[in-house]
Amino acid sequence: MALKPTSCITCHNPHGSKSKGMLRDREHAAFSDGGCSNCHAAAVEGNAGLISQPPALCATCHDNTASKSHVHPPAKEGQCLSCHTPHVSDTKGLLVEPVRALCFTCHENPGGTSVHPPFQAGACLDCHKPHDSVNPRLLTLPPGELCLSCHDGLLKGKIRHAPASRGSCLVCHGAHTGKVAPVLKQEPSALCQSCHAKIAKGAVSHPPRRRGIALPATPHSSNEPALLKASQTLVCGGCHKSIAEKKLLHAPIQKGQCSVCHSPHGSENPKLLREAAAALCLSCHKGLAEGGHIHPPAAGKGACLSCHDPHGSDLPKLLKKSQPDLCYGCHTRKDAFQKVHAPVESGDCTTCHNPHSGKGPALLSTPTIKDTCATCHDLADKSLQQKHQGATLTKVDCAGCHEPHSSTKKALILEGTHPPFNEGCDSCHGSPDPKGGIVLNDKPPALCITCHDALKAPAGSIQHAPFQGGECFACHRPHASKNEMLLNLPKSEVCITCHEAPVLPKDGWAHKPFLEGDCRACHSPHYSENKALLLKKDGAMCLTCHQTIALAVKSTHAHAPAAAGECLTCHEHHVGKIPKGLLNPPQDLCITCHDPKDLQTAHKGYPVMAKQCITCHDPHGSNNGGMLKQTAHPPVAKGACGTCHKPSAPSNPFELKDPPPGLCFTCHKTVAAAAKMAFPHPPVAQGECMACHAPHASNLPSLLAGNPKDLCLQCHDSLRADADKAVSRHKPVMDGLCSRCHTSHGGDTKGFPRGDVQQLCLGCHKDKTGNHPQTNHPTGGIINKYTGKPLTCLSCHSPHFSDKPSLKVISGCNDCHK
Amino acid sequence: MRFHFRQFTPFIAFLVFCCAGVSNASVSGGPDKKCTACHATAAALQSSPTAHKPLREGRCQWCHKTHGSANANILHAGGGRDLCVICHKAQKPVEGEKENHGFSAKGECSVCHASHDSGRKNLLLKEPQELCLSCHEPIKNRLALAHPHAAAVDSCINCHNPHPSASEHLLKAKPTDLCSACHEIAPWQKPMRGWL
Repeated sequence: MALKPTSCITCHNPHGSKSKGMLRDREHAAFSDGGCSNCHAAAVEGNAGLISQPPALCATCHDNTASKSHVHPPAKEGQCLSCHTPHVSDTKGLLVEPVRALCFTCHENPGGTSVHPPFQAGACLDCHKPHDSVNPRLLTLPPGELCLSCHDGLLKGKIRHAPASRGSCLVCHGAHTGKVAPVLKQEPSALCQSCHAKIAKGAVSHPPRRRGIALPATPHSSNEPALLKASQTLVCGGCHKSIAEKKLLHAPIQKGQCSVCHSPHGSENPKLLREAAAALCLSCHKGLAEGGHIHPPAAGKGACLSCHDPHGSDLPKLLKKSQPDLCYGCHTRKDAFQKVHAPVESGDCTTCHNPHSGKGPALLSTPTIKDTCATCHDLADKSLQQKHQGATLTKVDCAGCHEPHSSTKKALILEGTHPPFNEGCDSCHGSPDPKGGIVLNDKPPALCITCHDALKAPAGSIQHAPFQGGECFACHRPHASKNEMLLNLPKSEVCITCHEAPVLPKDGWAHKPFLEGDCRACHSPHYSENKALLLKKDGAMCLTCHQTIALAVKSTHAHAPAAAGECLTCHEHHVGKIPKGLLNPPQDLCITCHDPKDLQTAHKGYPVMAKQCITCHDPHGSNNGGMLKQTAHPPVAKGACGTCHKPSAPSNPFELKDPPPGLCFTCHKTVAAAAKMAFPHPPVAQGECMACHAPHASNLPSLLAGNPKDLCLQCHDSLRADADKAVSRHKPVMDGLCSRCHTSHGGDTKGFPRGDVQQLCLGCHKDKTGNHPQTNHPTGGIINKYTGKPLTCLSCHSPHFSDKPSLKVISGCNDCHK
Repeated sequence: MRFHFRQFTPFIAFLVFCCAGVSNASVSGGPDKKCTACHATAAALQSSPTAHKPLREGRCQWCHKTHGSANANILHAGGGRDLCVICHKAQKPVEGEKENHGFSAKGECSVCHASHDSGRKNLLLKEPQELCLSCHEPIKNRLALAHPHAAAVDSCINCHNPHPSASEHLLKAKPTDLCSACHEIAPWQKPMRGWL
């Protein structure tokens, strides 16, 4: 009889043992001391028979191992020998293999980088019963309880994570292995979001969340709300350390309530704010934006945070800087002159101004300046009245004479003063009225004219109504003013107290001086010989500024209304709906004087009245007959309309003899030749001559339809965007001198340069004929080994723009010298 | 020290260029001189009798690609078993090979063998028995018990093949054949006490 190959190692350990004969460590009690007959019957023909078969045989000694609600299938089926060996083993329980290896013969290893330590150590039986259990999955204890038998203390906190409190540990953890430590089924961020999906809304996210770190919260239990690991002060302060280092803290910070203002996971607002900054502050600090006038920073982008630190500050009111330095961060210093108003001197801007909003101008806390002054200066005080020559001060405007901040003059008198006011009151005022009224030596304007005798209007002149009525104070102040000529208000503001304010009509036109409030550029403020108080007669007034038109109206063929100075026949004076302030569109405007029939006769029967007269005619005047523009198409100048047009027919009155470009090329042979070159200008090739040229007349050379720069950019508009992005720009390109380098109609090379590129560049850059950018470096005349093309300026430079300095297209020497 | 070969490409190219010039001039320079001129550690090991044969013979190019490779240390293959089996053909993977030696996970051949020289036979990193037992700790403990197996104490490779194979426990033969090489097992072939 042959031994089985494994017979020896059934009983002996091949490496060694503590018992003699290297016997295995454990024996079946029934087997020891030669108790074979406990299980076996006598051998029959060399085969050892059993008394009875397992599990009945095993159950004679071992109690029923399959009695509970959940039974291990091999135990249920009585396959004791699947796991146990009947004679000897090194393993406790006489297992055929060590526990982990044994279990894996049936149970697949789930795999995963993070492994539960008992699983790693093969201690399957720490959690599972081998035969049967009252718990599912043959667990030794109910699921949650089993985990807590080792992981005690996880649920100490008062507030518990719902799955943890239910004992559903396996909602988040794997029982054996997990994707990430500690045996988690998913990355923490993904895991949390599988339930808490809506928690992190908004475009702005908290950096720990962005990086997938869910650290400030503990996953099992906590004594803090929302399962935070510690109070908000500690959790937030762990990273945001500097926030709580100030002497004075914002009340919510003091109470550890960061989440009053911030949403901890994500928000639509910057800094994870729950609302836009201003609205958020006003939700607690109510009433700070009332009164009609809001401090611009408070209404602006930075809102309250322009002046306040939202967390804390060493200064009262959580200000970023102390007064007045904070105010002077935006406002010019108000203590520049010798005499300074006491509150300005001490830097207490808020004595007079409300820092948030106010009812009065300049955020004063009172509706008028006088009321603000009266909070300190008792206007009924006798000594104050005496300083004002005994006048009653209840009705006066303090700011009319006094500067509120600082001045070079005693008593903070305004910079511009009426000379007699400096000398004393006597020149204009008599002795004070005991009833408090104002007593003048004479009534204005007579009083004023005693000194301002030059202002006496000549007989027959047109006078400004307030001037005529002697209401000098309608525009001027009697004592002092910040404005020129002691005016009540600066520039045209004084005019628009009576006259309509200038507004630029939408898509319309406004006269520039009118829009800029420079009324006195055209109008006299007091009197004039001309209507509307103009400084000069109509036309002459306009031509003082409009110099080119002044030349046109003096030409041999001037437009009669322009020559007569009747500019307003065609133009508006202040605002208009049409460019150049025209009263009507040109085609309508011209036929108000010119009879359409006459026009048709003059244009060889062509019905030109529906056309824009100014495409051919200069509306002010020209040295050409018929006020034709400077350059006329020769057939037009000769009146030979028939060169290009068929005789006028009612159906198509302006029909051409031949469509462009054929028509144009009958005369312009060189352009026709250019159209057939290797690289024609696309409008030339497509016969769109009118894209650049006017067919009849133009004030520009070559009958161009517009400024050359604008003409080129109407198609090559990407150059505009390139120019904005570029670091370096070629000057001729920026000046619109495209034709300096390019021919207009076409050429034999791409971009149709005006001659050899190298010579073209060197025409201006005369010093770059060699030794550029290094000594002995060529600038041309060789083949560039790198590109295989001739070396030219354009090997290294771009002709228009570049994102590198000096119009370079290469990043360095390495581009060629590899 | 690990370095990125790319950083040194221009430098090495220059070096090879210079060396080529030198070797043309002086006939004495062998093919390995280019490498050992710089790689002093490898140069020092070259004369060792236990060194890897290609190193002893100056055939650096058998393992390394002289002008560069995408692999670490400019090796021909990834540096593991794929590289070694180019020469050591017997160690090519066999069908049904057991994964049990923790072989691929721990860096393949270099778990036990050095690449240039270890000062020991077969380039082993430690003395043979020490090398095995440094990983197989439970076996080490068994060998320390009162009755250890003398053959196991002597050398693991008395019974086990150290390289991956298809046999159970990497044994050289079936257990009874191994045992019978030393032990007389004939008496046990007879029926025992009427049971077997």
